[in-house]
Amino acid sequence: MTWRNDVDFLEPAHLSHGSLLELLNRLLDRGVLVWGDLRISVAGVELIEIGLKVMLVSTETAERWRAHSLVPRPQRTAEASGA
Amino acid sequence: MIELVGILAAHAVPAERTAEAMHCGALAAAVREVEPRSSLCGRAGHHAAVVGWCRVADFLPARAGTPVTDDLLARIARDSRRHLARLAQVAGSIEIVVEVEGPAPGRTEAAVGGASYLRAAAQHRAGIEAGLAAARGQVEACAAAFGAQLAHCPTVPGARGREMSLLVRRAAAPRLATELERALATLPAGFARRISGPWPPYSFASSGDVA
Repeated sequence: MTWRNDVDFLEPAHLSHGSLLELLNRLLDRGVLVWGDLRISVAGVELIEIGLKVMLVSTETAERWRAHSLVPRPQRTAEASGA
Repeated sequence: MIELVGILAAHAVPAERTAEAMHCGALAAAVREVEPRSSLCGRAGHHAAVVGWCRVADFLPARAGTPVTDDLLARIARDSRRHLARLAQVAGSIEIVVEVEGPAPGRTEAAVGGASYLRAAAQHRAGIEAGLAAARGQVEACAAAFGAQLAHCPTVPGARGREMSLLVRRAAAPRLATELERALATLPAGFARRISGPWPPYSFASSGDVA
């Protein structure tokens, strides 16, 4: 129950778990993995079920990840110098 | 962009907030400046502004993202009698939202095929509809017992969930919330329920420009 007797009105700050602002902050800074099932039904009868795995992230964070992934790993550097 | 926050009686605008209100006859339109593009933060900001006004006056919240235009202000002034009646209706009251959702179809149902699958799907759907109808009946009974008003919420065929909004006097709201929780606990297993509030009277403001 998200009913609160101790406040006059419910505000986003009162929703400690997964508030909009928390979600937005997480979305932009760290990225969010959406993992679920998409079901398409006609007249209440399910016809198609699609597994869904989507990663949402800001372009800045994605760029940071990409730059990080391009840094040569130590063993590769060692292999390169040995060759 | 100037966004409409909501409507209140012109005489109810506090002196320190006159800069945030535009007069439309007997009413005042509470406004705020926002970024043109809508966002989650924008909606949270709108709700915070609505709550701020509800704390100082009887208030009809507007939908988030309603731009203020001369035409809108003229319409508010023209419909002032209807808006004043709504303001009297929501005075001293808050909104409670009840969300009920039936269980998702099990994977075992999807695994079987043909007629068995169709039969199982139909049974599952009938169970959901019965549960949602029972929830509606329980919410109606609670609303009647506490003198609360239930917003119009049409049945959506095939929907697994249902949202119901109640307008209740603030003093009676905590007891009504407790009673709703107790009543909905009797729903069949697998049904999820959530009671939230106190909310500004979003569902009871009006149709059209105001929420």
